[in-house]
Amino acid sequence: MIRARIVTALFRKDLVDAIRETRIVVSLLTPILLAVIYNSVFPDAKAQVVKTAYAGPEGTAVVRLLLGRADASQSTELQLRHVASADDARQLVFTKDVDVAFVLPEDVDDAIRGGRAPTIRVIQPDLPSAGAAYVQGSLETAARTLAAQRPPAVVTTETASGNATEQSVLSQLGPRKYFVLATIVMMIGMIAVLAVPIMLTEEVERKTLDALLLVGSYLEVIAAKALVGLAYVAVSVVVMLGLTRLRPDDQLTFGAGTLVVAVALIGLGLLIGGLFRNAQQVYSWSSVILIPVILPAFATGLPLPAWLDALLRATPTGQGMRIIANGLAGHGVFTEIWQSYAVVLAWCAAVYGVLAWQLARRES
Amino acid sequence: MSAAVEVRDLHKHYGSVRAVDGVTFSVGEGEVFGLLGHNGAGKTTTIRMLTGRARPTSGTATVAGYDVVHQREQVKPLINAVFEDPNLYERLSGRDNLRLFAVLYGVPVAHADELLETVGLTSAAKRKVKAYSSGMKQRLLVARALINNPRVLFMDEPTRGLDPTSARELRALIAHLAKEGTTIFLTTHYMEEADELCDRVAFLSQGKVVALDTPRELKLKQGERRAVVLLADRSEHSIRLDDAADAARLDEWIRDGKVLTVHSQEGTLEDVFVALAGRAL
Repeated sequence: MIRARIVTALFRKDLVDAIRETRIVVSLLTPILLAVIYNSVFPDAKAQVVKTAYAGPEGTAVVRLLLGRADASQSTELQLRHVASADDARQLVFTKDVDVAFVLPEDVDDAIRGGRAPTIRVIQPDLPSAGAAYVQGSLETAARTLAAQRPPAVVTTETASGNATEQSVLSQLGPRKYFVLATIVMMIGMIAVLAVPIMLTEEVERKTLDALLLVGSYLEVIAAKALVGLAYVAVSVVVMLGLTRLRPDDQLTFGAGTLVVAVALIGLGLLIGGLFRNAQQVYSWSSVILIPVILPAFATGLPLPAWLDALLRATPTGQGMRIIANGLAGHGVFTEIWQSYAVVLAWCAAVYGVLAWQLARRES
Repeated sequence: MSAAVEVRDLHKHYGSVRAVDGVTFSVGEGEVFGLLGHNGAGKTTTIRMLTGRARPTSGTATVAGYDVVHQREQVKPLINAVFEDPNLYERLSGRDNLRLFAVLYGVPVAHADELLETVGLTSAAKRKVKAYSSGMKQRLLVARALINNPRVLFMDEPTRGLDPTSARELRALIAHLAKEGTTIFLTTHYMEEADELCDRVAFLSQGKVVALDTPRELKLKQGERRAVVLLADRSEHSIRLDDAADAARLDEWIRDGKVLTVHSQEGTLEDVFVALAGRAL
């Protein structure tokens, strides 16, 4: 039997008392700081930004095709600027203000359509970048399209493992969103398997648990700790979204994913708390505990060996990342999301089952 | 006198270790009962079983008429405990510590302030407990243990580690509680403390009760009747009053006018304990 009076009193006590413990503050602040850093370091959406200058006529079909190709790309953002002359374009490349430049002849569109093979000059720096190669390739493709040439062969891409959509999660979300999202999952992990066990082991270590058990039950004590963990997760996620200016497009999925992952990991944290005698032990072993919990968040959706991908799919953090990523993007970045819910809920059933068994043993 | 605590053939085994090995005793309402013994004698295990923190291997125990195993929830509101360690929330103030337990026990939080006054901590109520002295912490522990007006108060080594003044103040508080009718179940290493406070004491050795009676009766039954004689030559002699040869020596010294003073010297609880348990505490 759980008495609301006792759980509420302990919840209120822990909410205030735990935040005064340095180790818990560190576990809350580290991921938030990391998210702020990722948020400012990584570009907003595309993995590659190519700064390009061009000289020659504006508004040509070649340039429109070039821009259209970049817009369709999930990985490249083309920042195009027009300059007055070829010399200006060359100067910008020389001063590294742009990655690449090109010069169009005056009648470029008509010349291509008329089959006169006009010359489009690409100006690249001493050390050509991937961006320069991208622009050169795109210009050739645009010219072929404009000349109504059929490509000599149709080249398609097939992904060897998994779903092509999943493999491109980084490009779909963009590095900024991807890493901030991984940090949110990391934060849930740190609260659940570091802060919550510290709260629990402190009660054992300082023997305050003995006093609590004179009036309450162990179930009430751990229920209060679990609620404090959930409250910390809720507040921290809101703070993190606010600081990084991320807005989930599907708030329901985002919230549901966050909740189920937090519930599963807090259960795991309560089990871990039962294994240690004091808070310092939890802290000392934290890296060993945290790596398997946090790593899947940062690796999910990246191209990985099949066995490692399968391993990550068995973890609550890996599957939680999939649900939360879909919530943030507002569409199916990851498919078969019911599997993710099933895995996380299976984890919940397993950890709370073991916890109940532990409680029954303790009470007897 | 009805029994506040009733223990019958209580056992607690941890594997092959018999921490408590067939203990039987009862404690009357309003009585101060002392459980004395070496470290590892089974005192704390007995308290843990009586407060529902450990399940007995066999035997029965009731507190305030309720079975400590099967009616644990009925026992909880009727008891409280002062633990050996100062298990307080050190980052909270003294007042917040008491108010937390007032809410947990469902008593008015105003009672917390009354108890702070009772134990003389009103002026330090808003200070964090980590800034308290050992004596102040111990007084706060007592206040916390009284928050639900318990019928039976368990006190595990309540004066251990306290300076003499704080220990004396705490003993006075215990005596006051006993006078008010609270049943007190005390464990202590300090024989003088048990002698001063307890109506009855039980000696626990290797998990068994080896003696149980009032301190006076134990001293009379087990102790030796002795006297210390100071002679004119300033030599001091301890004589046994029940020994014929010693009595003859005393008679001779008196006749010869050699005796300056005679002090009767009854046995102490410590002597009784050593005689029964084989070594001092």
